Amino acid sequence: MISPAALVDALLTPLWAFLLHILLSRSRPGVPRQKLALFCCVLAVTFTTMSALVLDWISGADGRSSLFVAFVSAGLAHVYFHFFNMSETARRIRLIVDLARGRVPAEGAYDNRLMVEARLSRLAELRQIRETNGKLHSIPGVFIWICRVVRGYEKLLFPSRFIASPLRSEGRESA
Amino acid sequence: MLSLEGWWLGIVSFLGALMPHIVVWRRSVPPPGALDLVLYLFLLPYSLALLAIGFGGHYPFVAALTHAILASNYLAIYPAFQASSPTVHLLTMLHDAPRGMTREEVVQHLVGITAVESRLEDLKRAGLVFRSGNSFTLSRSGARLAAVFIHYRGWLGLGQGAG
Repeated sequence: MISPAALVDALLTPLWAFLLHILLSRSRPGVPRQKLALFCCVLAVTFTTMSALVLDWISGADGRSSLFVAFVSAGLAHVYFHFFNMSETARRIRLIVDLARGRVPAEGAYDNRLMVEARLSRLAELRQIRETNGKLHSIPGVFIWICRVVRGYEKLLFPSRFIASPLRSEGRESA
Repeated sequence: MLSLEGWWLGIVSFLGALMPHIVVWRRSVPPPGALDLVLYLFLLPYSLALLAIGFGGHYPFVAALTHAILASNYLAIYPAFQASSPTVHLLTMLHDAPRGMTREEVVQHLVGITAVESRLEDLKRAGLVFRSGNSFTLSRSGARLAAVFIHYRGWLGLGQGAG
């Protein structure tokens, strides 16, 4: 059995993460943004799960309801993290924000380079790549395997992107 | 107190919703949009669940919640598949290059999937912008979505994302 209070608390995880995020983002401007967002999400899930554990202990219930609360809380925190990540890294979001602010979307080699440099900086901050003697290298880890799974699923969902040129693994077909 | 019995039915219904989604997306060029995905992941399965309950079936609230969590997470990560995430390309590309790559080589490889024009066409297909001549203008939905992100970033005290 699960108490409605614990469930509501879990459902409010994105709100807790957001409030924490506002607090820390404004007070710690130097911290890498994605790391900070991740930290806020982990803190929100921890708080929610601990509350559920306390409620379970008080009511004498077993730990299963806390597990479910942790699942709901972690799932919603993950959604919040991706929402923030989209606001930070998604090119389409940047484009619609530029248009809303009356800016003409930039085009050309300079803009592409800026976009790639931004991604390289983020990956370096997250310790997924390193640069040695002017060459970039990936750092082996879980993240690479996640990327492999994502690419594999992309091939499953959009096979037409990969049919035209089997050797072209970095581009996508034009609109 | 809510019973946790039958929560696993949410996993079954989510996987069941995923199957037709994969089949339809594989056959459609260009693929359907995000609203169609909401239809496949939420409206259709929940409608079927309500129908099943109407005929005496069993689909508890915790199962519906489990389904919603899984489907929301799938929706959150779907853009990475749909837009062929440059970050995913970048990492797999570097991983496949044992001698490494220069920044110039990385930029050249990614230029095809980061071009502004192709992104604007994506937005046009999603009904978020419309084209008039050589320029693009936000639709009402596009303006609302942009406002959400502008206010969100404002609350966090952050400027615009780098994209």
